Amino acid sequence: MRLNDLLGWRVIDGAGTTIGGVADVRLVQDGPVLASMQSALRVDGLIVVEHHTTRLFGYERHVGPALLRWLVHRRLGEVWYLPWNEVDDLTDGTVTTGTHRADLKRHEEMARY
Amino acid sequence: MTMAGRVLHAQLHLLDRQLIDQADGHLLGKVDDVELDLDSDPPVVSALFSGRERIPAQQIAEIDTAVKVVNQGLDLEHHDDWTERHIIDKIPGAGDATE
Amino acid sequence: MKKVLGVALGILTAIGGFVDIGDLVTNALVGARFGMRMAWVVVVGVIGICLYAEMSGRVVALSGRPVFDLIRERLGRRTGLVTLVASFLVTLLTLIAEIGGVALAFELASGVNYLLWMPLVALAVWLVIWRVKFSRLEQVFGLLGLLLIVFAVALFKLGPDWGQLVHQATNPHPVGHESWATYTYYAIALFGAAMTPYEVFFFSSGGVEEKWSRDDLVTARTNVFVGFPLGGLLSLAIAGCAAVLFLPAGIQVGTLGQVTLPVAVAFGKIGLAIVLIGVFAATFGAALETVLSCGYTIAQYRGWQWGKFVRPREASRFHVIMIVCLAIAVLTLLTAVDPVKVTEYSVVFAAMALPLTYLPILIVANDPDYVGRHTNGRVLNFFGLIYLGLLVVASVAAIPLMILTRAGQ
Repeated sequence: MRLNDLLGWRVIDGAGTTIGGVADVRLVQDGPVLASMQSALRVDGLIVVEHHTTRLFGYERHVGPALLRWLVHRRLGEVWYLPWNEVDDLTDGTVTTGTHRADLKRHEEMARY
Repeated sequence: MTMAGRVLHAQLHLLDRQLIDQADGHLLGKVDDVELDLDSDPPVVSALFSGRERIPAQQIAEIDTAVKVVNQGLDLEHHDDWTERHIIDKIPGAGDATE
Repeated sequence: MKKVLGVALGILTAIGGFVDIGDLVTNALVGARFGMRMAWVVVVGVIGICLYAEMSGRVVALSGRPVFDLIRERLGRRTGLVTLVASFLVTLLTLIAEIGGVALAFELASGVNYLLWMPLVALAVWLVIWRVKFSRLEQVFGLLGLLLIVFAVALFKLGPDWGQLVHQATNPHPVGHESWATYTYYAIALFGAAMTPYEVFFFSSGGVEEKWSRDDLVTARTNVFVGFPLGGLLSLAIAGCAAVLFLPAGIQVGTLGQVTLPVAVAFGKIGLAIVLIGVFAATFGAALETVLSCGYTIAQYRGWQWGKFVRPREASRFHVIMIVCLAIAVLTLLTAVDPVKVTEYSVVFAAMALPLTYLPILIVANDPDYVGRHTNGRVLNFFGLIYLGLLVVASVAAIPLMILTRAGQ
């Protein structure tokens, strides 16, 4: 699957409630070792934002002047992390998860490196 | 060089980054798309795309503020070579260093 | 001497922002109509471009990424393309004006019509791009452009009423039959010119051309803090001369000949010769700056090999872009359009390009992935944000004011 296709897909929980849209894919470099003697980039989970997806600020690392960050976060709404093993299905622009919206982990609680 | 456990974000750290030839530092294009193999176990990034050219993940050498790749079996400089042969090489001094 | 040559990049960059052909005429025009009542705008512009050029210089020294790489990375493909189109058009229109400007300087010196000089000028610009090393190009045209300092000397020689000039500078408002609308229009035009996007494109790409690394942070900063204030000083001197000579007589300025007149009045033929060489170097330098920036922006947006640090054949598409731009410039000027007027239209595109160019710089200058521990401090971010706000306001106001005042008439 291509990243550009996946970005912006709607994320709904088991009850059919819309959680938000796919803003990014979290990768961890601990997959199988490749021919280049490096570990592959493993798909670890999705980053889901409540309202709009914007790429400008690196929402997950809180970079930039405070006023700009505040403006962007108001626009984004909540930013969640959806682990890959909680993704049930990916079809037709929709990601389905069994996890309830209230049980999702906030992205800011994730380790940055 | 291993960077096990390093966290990256596909859009933020890969998409639209500069591609650089690991061997000679030449600029090769931008990362226009990222291919995710979601059916493998575990799911991984399987390739990068620049224009129509597919760069397999095995050929990614380094990911920093630019992405360095092993430029083997790839045809990333096709258009530049065409322009070079048909236009620039016809002008005297095209192969000389500036003074 | 080595120290002087080391800041040539900053000086040449600043020439494109403060004393290129459009600015030369605008500075004199503003001086003739408003005296020094517009001087504060130049000061505000110098501070703004210093802030953002420093950030882009720091990013390039620490990460090797020039400004249009950052724009593409942060704004993505689509918004990046909008920024590319707008800023490319600003740069191309300015290039057209500069080629005409160099030709006008030759017309003033020789009496031969500028349309005949113009193709030769374009050819000369291309030859320099094709054959001359980047460091030599910036040194020759940057330093020769400094001959415009003769405007400052002329100002002293003209023996103005300094109290009067200071009075004007400290009373920033329109007088006589000038309205607030025209005053604001020219304030925005001067501010936009001071922060014109190709300055940061050229400056940051120049950093790559000169192979800046972590050790060159000081060089980058020196270039910024010497180059741009010097450009602003030249700009003020030109306005000052016009304020002394033309304002009391109520003469309107619209041609390059009138711009150079105060120096001729002060120093006669020798003065005129010096100022013409200065104008030639400044406009030719600005032509190099803009044509290179045309190539830099497109190549960096697409990721193509660019730069004069490789042989032309290795960056073939980069060189083709510049050849095409020069050809477009010649064809446009052949329609006998007034080169000075061309820059006025660039205001429209600049309005769109300015905020989109500076926002990614501000964000990346805060990102440890690029600059490590050298991220912006709080004070820098505070002023960076203020200027971003100013740019947005100027952008929104520019086009309505242009229509309202019929481009400042």
